[in-house]
Amino acid sequence: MECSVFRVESLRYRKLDQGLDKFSPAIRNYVSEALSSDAGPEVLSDLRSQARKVLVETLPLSRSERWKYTDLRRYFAKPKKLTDAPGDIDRKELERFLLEGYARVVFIDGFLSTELSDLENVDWGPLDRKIAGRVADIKTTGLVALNSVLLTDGLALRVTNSHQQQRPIQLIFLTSDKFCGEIHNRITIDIEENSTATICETHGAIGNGTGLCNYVMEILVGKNALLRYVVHQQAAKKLNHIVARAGRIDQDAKFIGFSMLEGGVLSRSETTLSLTGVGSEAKLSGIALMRGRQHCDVTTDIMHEVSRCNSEQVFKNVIDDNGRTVFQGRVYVAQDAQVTEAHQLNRNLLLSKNARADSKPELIIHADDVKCSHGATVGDLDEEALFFLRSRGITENIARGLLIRGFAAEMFEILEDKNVVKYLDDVLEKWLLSYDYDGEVA
Amino acid sequence: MLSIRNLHAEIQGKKILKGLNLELGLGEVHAIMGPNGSGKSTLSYVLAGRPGYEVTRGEIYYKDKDLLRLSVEERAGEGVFLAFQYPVEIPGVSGMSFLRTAVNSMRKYRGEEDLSAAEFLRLARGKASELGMDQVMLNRAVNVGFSGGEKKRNEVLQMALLEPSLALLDETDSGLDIDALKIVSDGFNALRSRERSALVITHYQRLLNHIVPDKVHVLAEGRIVETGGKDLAKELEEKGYGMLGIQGRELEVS
Repeated sequence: MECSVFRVESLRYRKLDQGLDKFSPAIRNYVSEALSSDAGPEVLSDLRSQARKVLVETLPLSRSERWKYTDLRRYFAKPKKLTDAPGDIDRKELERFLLEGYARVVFIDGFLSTELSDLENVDWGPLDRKIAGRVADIKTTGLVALNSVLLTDGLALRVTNSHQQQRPIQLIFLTSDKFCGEIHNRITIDIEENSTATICETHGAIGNGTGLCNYVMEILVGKNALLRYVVHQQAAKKLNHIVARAGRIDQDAKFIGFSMLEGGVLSRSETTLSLTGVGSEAKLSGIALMRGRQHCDVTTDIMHEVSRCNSEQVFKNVIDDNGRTVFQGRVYVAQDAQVTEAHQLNRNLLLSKNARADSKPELIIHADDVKCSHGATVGDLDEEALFFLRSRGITENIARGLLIRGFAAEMFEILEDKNVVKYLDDVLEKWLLSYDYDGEVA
Repeated sequence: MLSIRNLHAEIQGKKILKGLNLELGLGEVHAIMGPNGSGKSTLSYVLAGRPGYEVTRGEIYYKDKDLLRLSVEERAGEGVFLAFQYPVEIPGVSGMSFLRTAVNSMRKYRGEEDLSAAEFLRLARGKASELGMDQVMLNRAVNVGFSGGEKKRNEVLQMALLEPSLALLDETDSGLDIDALKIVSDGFNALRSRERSALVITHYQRLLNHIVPDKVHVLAEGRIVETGGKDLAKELEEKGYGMLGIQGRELEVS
């Protein structure tokens, strides 16, 4: 009986997996399993059927411009299971990820844990259909189509302009020790007019999960609202970690984003922001700390659609061992987007001769009254600064650590919350504790 | 204390020091003067161990140790301190954490216990206020956004905290107005003692009104060509290096 059901499903989706013949059985199997999956929430069934139609073309199975430097084919080509039962995580293990004074939403292995969450005074509910599937582009952004097809659990957050003191909110996504499978979660965030919100997204791991995490965040920032958005990713060693954030920023609204990325075998953080309201602003900055054979891709896409909008991006990477980073930053300025200012900078610190950084800035400008800039630097630590520190008795290894720390910590200046700075500073400190200068630099 | 014999040094194959000899006794302060390009800064960098400065001949003994065999940080641990002509800016590293790391690195080298955060804070605040530096300056990133005078003051603060036995002042007066020059010199003079020696490298005589040297050496073409008392500096100021039959080159190699 079960078998025949599966066959019917297969027939129904047969057309959708066309063009897969050239791929290995593992990939064909993966796609057909994904297409036949129907586990997600009922309310999203139309989103799922829409996503099935574009799944094959959006999966990065062949070389494409958007996935030129980040190769997920190795992941898809391996036999794997799509789901795994959520593991148990002790409240104690959660502690080190917690930010003081924050409300929290905790997802364990892709499932919301109401027990570990603290949502008092938070306006939340099931995924907001007015936002889900309408902000993130299913065809061009991250693995949004795959997320739509396989979505297991999601949540909507809303911040309203009330006079009440709003608690900042921490979104915590953890993988448990034995996790082996895929996670597809989605969060919709609605920051209403004239409100101010702080949201921190924390991706952590207890032990060694494997597989793929694929999160999608869809964000609306209403007129004259301010959203401060901080990301910390500390993915499990063998995890492929993909996050796509898509936002629309309305008139005179502001999005201030910061990310600190570490861990994972391969990670991609993709941020697509549309400045849709006159006078809106986006500030994005971040630092990635890569070592071993880790690969980290930061892809941004800022769309200036109307006039008088500003965007500013500064992304830094610290890369040791055989680590590798990618920065793809695209700024698009529409014809009507006059009086636009858009700046972008990518700085890479290579700490070993095998470290690698690829930087690909892209400006597409159709308006004529614009001020745009982009730049990229790649280099080792400043020799003069190193000599200066050593001449003060500081050993080379510690001096290097101090300089790396400075390179990264300089970015914290944009952060307002002292608790967040302290938290990230500790993370940085821990990362540096394992830094050891082996005498070989780029 | 410091004995330099027949020192030859070059940078990127360019010969800068060509047989320099110098004896500096314990507790003495010697001034090194000379025209641009004579090798003054190179001498201070070679003593501090800056990478890229290659010693091709000669020897340097410091407290009976072969200085050239020591790494940059070991030299610092042994008490060599270079006050930079152009102090380096270090974004993202607060003055306090830098100073504490430096002080504790030195203590570790000498086999002493680390200072606790509180002990260090007390020490640093005290020394800083003597130099007219406030707490805000110490909490800022090292030298970032500092004026020329503030940077030099910061160098003297480091000197005060690290208590070197051999201070090398590389054109510490450059870029300073008269007031800042006085503060920096007073800071240095307060550290003078029988146990501490110094080489004061300067282009002009005015610094030596504040920091009075025991001896003045004139460096030209990579060699000491004249040695005298403090009056030699005054004479040079009046008559120029031409009185010794030497000419400066356009650019200093540093």
